Amino acid sequence: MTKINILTVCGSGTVSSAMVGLKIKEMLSEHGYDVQIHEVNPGMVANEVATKKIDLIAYTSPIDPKDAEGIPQINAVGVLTGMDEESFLEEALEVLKNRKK
Amino acid sequence: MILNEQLVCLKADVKTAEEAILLAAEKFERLGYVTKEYGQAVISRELIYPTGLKGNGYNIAIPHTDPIYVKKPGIAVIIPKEPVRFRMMGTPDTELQCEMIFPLAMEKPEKQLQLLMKLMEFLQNDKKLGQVFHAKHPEEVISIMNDLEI
Repeated sequence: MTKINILTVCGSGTVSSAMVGLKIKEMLSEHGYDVQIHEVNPGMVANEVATKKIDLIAYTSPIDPKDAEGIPQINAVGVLTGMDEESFLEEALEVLKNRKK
Repeated sequence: MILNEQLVCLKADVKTAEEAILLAAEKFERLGYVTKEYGQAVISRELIYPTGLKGNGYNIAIPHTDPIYVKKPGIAVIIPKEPVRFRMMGTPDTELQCEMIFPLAMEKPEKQLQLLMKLMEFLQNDKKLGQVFHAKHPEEVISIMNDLEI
């Protein structure tokens, strides 16, 4: 299993980010990824990115893309509602494949 | 207990997101789930980070705030007489008419991953949402959502 760090971002850094985190972890483990989830609010993104090696950011509340330049950022609201998990998964797998280790 | 008949309000006479949130906050506070700052904190958060979600058959909202305002976890259920406007999570320019509102009192996520997982499953279950929407009594709602009482 490939270990990766994913930042999940929501307004309070608690409920929504934890919920999508759980789902993303489950989805990606089926594809060989051992995911460590870090739940934060948008104000904490820049600091997390500076202090950890983050492979992907999944957000349910908008973030400032400049806070995490160079790191793939994907809207994960579809994962929360279950309405659009497939396209999130596709995009996530694509960017993780292309991510230089 | 996460669910409580006194936290369920059917045919609620609320017209705005703020009214719905304050209705739930009053109930939560009275029953010891949250501090008195909870209501305003949820309203403020909703303005910046809205919680409207578009489902298959129903639009819902899950207003909540930081764990510091929460004494014990709970979920309120507000079914308004008429759908209430909330802005959409992640896409704040989009407005949704929400038929069901589930204000949440949640502690730090690490303490309740199980509950969050079950909550997400419930929110994605159109059949259960439909049952809640058409429920005639609070006891029915509690029974439908019983899974969440872990």
